[in-house]
Amino acid sequence: MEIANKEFSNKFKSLMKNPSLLILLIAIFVVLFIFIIYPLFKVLIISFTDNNNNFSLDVYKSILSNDYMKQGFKNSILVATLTAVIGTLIGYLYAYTINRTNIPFKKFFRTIAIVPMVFPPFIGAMSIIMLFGFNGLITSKLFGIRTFPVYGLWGLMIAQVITFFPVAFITLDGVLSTISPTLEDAAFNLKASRWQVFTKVTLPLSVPGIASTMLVLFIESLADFGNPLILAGASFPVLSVQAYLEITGMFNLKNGAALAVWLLVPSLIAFILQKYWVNKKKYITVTGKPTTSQVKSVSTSAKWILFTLCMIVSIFIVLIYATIFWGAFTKAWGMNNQFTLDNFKYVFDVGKESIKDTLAIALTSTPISALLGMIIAFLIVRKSFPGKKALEFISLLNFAVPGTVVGIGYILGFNTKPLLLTGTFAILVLNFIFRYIPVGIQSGISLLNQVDPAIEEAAYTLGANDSQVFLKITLPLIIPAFFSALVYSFVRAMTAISAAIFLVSADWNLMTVQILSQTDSGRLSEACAFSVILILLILAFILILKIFLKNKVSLVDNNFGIE
Amino acid sequence: MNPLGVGVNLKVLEQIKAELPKSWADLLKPEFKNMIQYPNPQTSGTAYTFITGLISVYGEDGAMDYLKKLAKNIQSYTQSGTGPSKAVGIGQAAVAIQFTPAFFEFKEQGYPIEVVFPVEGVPYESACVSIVKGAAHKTEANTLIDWLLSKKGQQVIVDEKTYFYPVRADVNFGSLQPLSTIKLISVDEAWAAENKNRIIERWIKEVLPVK
Amino acid sequence: MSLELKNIYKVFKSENTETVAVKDFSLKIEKGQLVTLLGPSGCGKTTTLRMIAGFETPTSGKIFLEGKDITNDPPNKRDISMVFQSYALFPHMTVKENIEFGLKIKKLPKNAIEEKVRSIISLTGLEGMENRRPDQISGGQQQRVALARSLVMEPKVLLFDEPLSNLDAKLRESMRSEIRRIQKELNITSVYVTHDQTEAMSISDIIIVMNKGEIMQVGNPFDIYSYPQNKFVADFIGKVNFIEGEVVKKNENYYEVYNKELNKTFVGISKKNLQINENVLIALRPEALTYEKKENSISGIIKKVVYLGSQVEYEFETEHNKIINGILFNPVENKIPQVNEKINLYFGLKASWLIKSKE
Repeated sequence: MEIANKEFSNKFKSLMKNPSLLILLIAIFVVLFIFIIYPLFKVLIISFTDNNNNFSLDVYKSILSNDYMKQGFKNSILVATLTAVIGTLIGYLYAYTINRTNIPFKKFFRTIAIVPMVFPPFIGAMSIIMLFGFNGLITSKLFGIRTFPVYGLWGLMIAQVITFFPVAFITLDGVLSTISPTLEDAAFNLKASRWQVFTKVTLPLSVPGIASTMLVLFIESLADFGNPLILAGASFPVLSVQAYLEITGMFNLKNGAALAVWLLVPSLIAFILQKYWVNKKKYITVTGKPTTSQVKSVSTSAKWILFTLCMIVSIFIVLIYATIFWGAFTKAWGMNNQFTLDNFKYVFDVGKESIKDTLAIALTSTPISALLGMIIAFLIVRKSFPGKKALEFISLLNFAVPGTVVGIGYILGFNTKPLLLTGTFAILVLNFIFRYIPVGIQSGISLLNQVDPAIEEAAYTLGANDSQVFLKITLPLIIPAFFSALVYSFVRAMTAISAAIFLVSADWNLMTVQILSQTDSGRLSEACAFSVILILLILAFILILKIFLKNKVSLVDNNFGIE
Repeated sequence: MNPLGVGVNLKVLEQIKAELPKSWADLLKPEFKNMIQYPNPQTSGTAYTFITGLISVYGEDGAMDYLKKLAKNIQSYTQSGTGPSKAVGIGQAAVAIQFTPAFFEFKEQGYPIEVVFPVEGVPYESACVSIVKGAAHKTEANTLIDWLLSKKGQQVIVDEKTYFYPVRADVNFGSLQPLSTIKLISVDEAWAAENKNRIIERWIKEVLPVK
Repeated sequence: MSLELKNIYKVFKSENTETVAVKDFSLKIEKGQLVTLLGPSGCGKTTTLRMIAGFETPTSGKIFLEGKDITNDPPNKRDISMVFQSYALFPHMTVKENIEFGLKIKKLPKNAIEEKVRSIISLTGLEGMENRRPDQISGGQQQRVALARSLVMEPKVLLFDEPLSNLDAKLRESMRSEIRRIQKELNITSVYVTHDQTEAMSISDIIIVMNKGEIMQVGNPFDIYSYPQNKFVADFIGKVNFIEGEVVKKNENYYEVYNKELNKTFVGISKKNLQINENVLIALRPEALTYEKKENSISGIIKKVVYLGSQVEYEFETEHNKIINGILFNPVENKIPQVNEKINLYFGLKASWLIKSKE
């Protein structure tokens, strides 16, 4: 005990000698508290009080005894579990095929795998109805089936698996590429068959990554708002939509908040499991550059089967998004195939403002989010200070919190002075910065852990201070992480809906909200056109970024999912 | 102001070999099995309006009865009030029940949509505009409201193709179907508000489970 | 006094255990000395080095650099440079950029930097490599760059953290003499960490032998080898035989020690004051055993002979099954022992070094 206190006081003394670090830490803690903890707090409070602001469990009593809400909870969990399992399965299949076989068109498969990340989710859902519904291109025109269940569990699950498959792929791709192929070589050398090598070496080593992916997908699915809004009807309620509708449809803020908290619980559990249990069992088999194996891990016939399966998945994805392009260039999606550019004309007429607004907000929040993410990752990995574990937890917390909860929290937390931010540019930017920071932090931490800490220590002994070390040494070495943080933040900011839908106003609107309202008022083709513009903007951003960062790419070799 | 209406996709109608429905009773026909959508009253004010409208026509028990029979033809109860129009537009459903502006927009876009106002009568909603208590720009707000209710303002609502009905009789209705051809039903707002929870509960218990 | 450590303690706390990594470590180093911290893994040598560098904070105790208390100073404020085991070269910079990094941080004028860098490059034999990247040069060259980068800072103290362990044997030998040569030429106070005794013996002015966080002995290589103060040091450095005994007589310049099993009295020396009846160990180096008649004798049967060219290593077993190791040099001009041969060997007074059993 005495030693602990001495250690603490020495740490504190060292911290004191480094005033800029101290100030930075305090600033970060304060900012994280205000923009991550405080809104959550507000949501909790409002759900635990009655109309006179006294503590009360009435709201919870009413929703927990409500059969419909209970059904919603069960459905949310059911879909989340199914999506997690199936999404991970497909993701693993895909990642394994790309990493361990020498099929052709790898670049194509890699690109397709992340395409679904670049679309506003509900348009994908519409697309599914177009392909598989009553008049579906695939079901009806090709197979003559009119009764494929697009609404409810099946349609929703398909939509979610497609939407979150990129997340599974990117994680598992990373996992598989860091399992040293020499381990498999060794097993082959010991006369194991291909199947044995897979089941006894590769698969067990992938288990932490698989568990991690499943938990991540579980959380994402629970929070998913766009897909269920379109595909989950009244007979298949899910909590994410219910919370939103309680507020916007029934004007019951307390119920909405309580539902949001209910949704938060399994998310948090999954998050804690993933962070503190699965992560502890990580197997790191490679430090530094991964080598490629010369021995083929799968037989030729297996290779072509895997290739075919990947092809099917890819074509499926391409179809869904091609359908949207089709809608953008025709008069009446699915009903009138006359080619037209009128939809785009409408978008530039009416949607100009929202395009500008969205770009302004995304381009402001993205670099701040990415840089802040790198700084926090640096602090967490390389520095020791009191409260480090708390910092790590808080900064990653937003990852587990469904967008709906965050959105509600922000409107509750920032609609009075001194922080009167509702309806402003600031509230949207702030929401985006802190919402998407976890990915930057995670990839920063992951990459930093692969950098020999001695490199930074050497810089310190040569007289560099913290910011010099960070800017001249650390940042160049973790450029891939910075890059993927930028891309991820931008893509998410451009396609955000579940939190953002509470925060837009007459002054500041987002393209995604516009798209939703277009579909609401019957302008489906225009909605498709909007979506196409959205994708093009995102692709342009990624391209420009790639060119700009090309000469600054680090020499620490790394596979970082997003190309 | 907005009457509730029935949107029909003519192409799908052909595919299921049904005739254009003219009344609420028509919607119970077996041809429409699994081809109708309306919003979920738990989350949509539109749906509640629909139910209270039916109550005015059939009485409470009669309305529930009707909805139970209709349930067999329902493909999905959508979460949002405008969900049905999306489905009927792209040919996923044959019939959609909701407020009509979206249907008219689809029709304008070139979708094969026809709007029908059932002969038994349809409920309607009036959009309202209010000034927030303690508003900082009260004068300007008043000006806006005055303009909205003026002949000019109401004409704009028609001319800009919002497909909302104006609330003044001295306005040119443009392409909108004349109100004289629509049987509008009044609903006792106070009664509707008081009994909302109870009626929705009834809907959940009696109508929702029916397949 | 160039560098002084006073009563340094370092305790690591993890979950529910506490590990004492360094216990009551005190040390004084003069300017220009090369002091080596030598010991097995986990003995605390690297932790101590990192505390000098500033990467670890002592739990208690103080560190002084030329009289100034630097205990709580961050690493970038100490006038100390470090050569790392993994070299830690900046992979995204050239050799030249690596070397001039610290000078640029110091904001020295451009021509001063050029001058110093050129001079250090020639001192460390890196001419021609200036524009290469670390992944384009060999391990030995990387080592030199790491050294150059630290030397160019003209630090008050230079730290080495097992700098040669990643090199192959031949290279290690040539590099360590290089390091020693440069260190002496520039007269830089150095603290060197290694687990390799040969390395320690060959380059150090002073060796500090450590075990489990504690200092076992401080001395020059000769003292450490010939006059180990305790069993650990005697055993850790080189090979040694221990013969137990009890002090039976104390003479002016030597002690008489009796071994019960062999029923023999040996003579030996010690720098400490030993008491009668005290239990001691005779630390006997293998090379001290000869056929030539000396003060002490010991006999047995040869059990094992290993011929290594320049020397023969052999084992013989005494009457009471005690195994003694011996080394014989220049076998071609000497008698090579044969297995199962009965022999009588001798060792001198000076080679009969007495250690207290309890230490």
